[in-house]
Parts: sequence; structure tokens; C-alpha cells
Amino acid sequence: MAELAGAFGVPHTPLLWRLMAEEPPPDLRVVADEFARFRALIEEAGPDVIVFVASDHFHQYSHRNMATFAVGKADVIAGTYPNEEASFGLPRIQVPGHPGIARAILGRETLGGRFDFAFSDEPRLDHAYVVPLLYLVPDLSIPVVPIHTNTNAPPLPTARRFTELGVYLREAIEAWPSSERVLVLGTGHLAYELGGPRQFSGESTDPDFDRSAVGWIRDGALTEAVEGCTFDRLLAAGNLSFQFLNFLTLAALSGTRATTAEGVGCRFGNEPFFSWDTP
Amino acid sequence: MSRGVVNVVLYDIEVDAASVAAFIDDPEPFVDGRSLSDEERAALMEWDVGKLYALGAHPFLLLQAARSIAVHRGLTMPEFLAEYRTAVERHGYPDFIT
Repeated sequence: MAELAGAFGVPHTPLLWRLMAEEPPPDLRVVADEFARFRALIEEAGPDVIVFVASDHFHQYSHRNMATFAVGKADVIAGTYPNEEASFGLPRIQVPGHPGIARAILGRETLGGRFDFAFSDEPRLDHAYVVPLLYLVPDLSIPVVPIHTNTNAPPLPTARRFTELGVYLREAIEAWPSSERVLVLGTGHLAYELGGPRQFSGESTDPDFDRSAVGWIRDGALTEAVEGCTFDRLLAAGNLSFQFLNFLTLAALSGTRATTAEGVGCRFGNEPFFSWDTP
Repeated sequence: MSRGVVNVVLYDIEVDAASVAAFIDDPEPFVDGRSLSDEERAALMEWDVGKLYALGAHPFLLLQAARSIAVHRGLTMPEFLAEYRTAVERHGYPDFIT
């Protein structure tokens, strides 16, 4: 049976890529340091494969066709899109995929368990995956199974559903007949807004939400988190705050208090860094 | 209600540099034959960012398209962000559910 090699939650703000290309400006120093610390922790954990929970930003899944939860299964997976190369200077990347564990999560002849995932045999990663991978696995050598969650285009899954996804992923990973070590990565935001009047204000759009959210993760307080993450509360925190829900999946998968739980203050508000030692 | 179609158009505009240039040159093919309200069609054709925001375009997609168009037109980021803010802030937080 496969073994969990830890769970890590990080930001993916694409503007970081150019800003931190050389010596990071003072307010981003801690963000760069935390990425470096997590990179070392992941190297130490020595995973054979990364299951990566993130939300595609209307590239592969859009208002044309939106998947609520989708598994990407392919031998090789390309990353970024022309508009992201232009806007953020992201490099085109390629990472190995891992169809074996992708099928263990998704199902093979029939869908495997409590989740009727959509799937893609040609997943393509946008900045939500590419930015964390560039910082955490810079040689892009570890196979990745992207799990897309819709946190951007309502109707969204409820907070409870994100916790159920975490429990399911753990069961599916642990039931996978393999000796490989599986690390789970997740990305999202704390309170965050883009495209609205409060964007790029230089501080968090909702420090109260951030304090609560970091506390839920730190304490493994899933009941409180689910109660606190209603659609209206997340929207009030900022129109992209729904992406916090991805961290509830990691917290539920880990089923324990986090080892690291922090919102690192910078020009983009509080950037989330979470880690769990999975028993 | 066709906000979802507006969102599809917004993405089509900023797929790459060529699509941005094509939209600026002639927006008609981007809206032609699509199920849009007259108001939505006019706001896209006239590229009225404030109007599109007020009509409930997805804020992320609107920002991305607006930034790509502004860059193409030679605006600096501070100039663009000031212009964008002026366009949207009087509208508060319109419903963007499709």
C-alpha cells in the first residue's frame, strides 16, 4: 500500500515569479524563504509522486466547460499558457505525470469511489500548478497528478465537499497497491481579490478572515472551518478567497493539526504556507 | 442572462497576443453569433470595462482581458490599474454568478 509523505499548502501568486527572479524585495523575502524551506522539506520527504490539488483559472476548465473536480492522467504534462507567458513571464514547463495513481484515484472501468470526478487525458497546468512547482521542485523531476477543483466559477462545491475530497484522497492513496511515497500539495489563497475595487491594495482584504482561516488549519478545526467557509463569508473576504477551500482538502486528508500554519504578510496580502506531518 | 458567454468571450480575447490584436482591430467576430444580450454585446464591442463589470462579468477574467488590452495599447501597469479601478469601483460588487 502506498504511503503518504506529507502534505503542503502554498501560494501561487504568479506576479511573484518576476518579482522574486533575483534578490526578492524586502516584503517578499519571507515568502521566498518559506518556499525555500518547504522545498527542503519536500526534498527530505523524498516523494515518488505528487498529488496536486489546485484550481485551474479558466484555462482548461472555463465557463465553456467547467469540471467541479477533475483528475489529470497523462504520462507527460505541459505547463503554462501563452497569456501567462506574456502576463507573468512564466516559462513553459513539462513534468512527468503518473497515470497509475491517477487511475487509483479516479477509477479505471468505473469511477472509483464517492467522487464522480471528471478527467483529462491531456491536462495542461496553468500558473496555479506551475508557480508552486517551479519553487518547490525546480528540476520538475517528480511525477504529478493534477486534481482540479472549481473554486472560481459558481456554483462551487461546498466547504464540506472539499473536506470529503481530502478524506477520499487519503483512502484512495493508501489503498493504492504500490510501495511509492505520495506527497500531497495544495494551493490557494487566504483573503484575496482580483478584478474588484480592493485588488492590489497592498494589504489583506480581510485580516479577520485570515486569522480565523490560519487558526482552523493550525488547530485542525474542520467543523469550524466548514461552518466559517460559507459562500457569502468567502465572497466578503475577497472574490478569489474561495481558493482557500483547497487547503481544507489537505487538512481533512491529514486529519491533524498543521505543523506550519501561517499567512505571510506582503504586498499581496497574507500568503498562505501550511504543512502537515502525515502520520 | 448570458454572463457565462461574456466570460467565454473575455477568455477568447486574451488567449494570446494575436487574439488581443485581433479583438482591438475588429471585435465583431468575437461577439458574432453568440447568445449575448444587446447590452453585453455593446459593452464588449465598445470595450466598456465598467459596464462589463457592472453586468457581472467574472472579475478575474475581466481583469486579465483588460490588462492584456491595456498592455497592447501601451499603458504602464500603474496607469492601467488606476484606469481599471476608476471603471469598476463605483459599481461595488455586482453579482457574477452565471
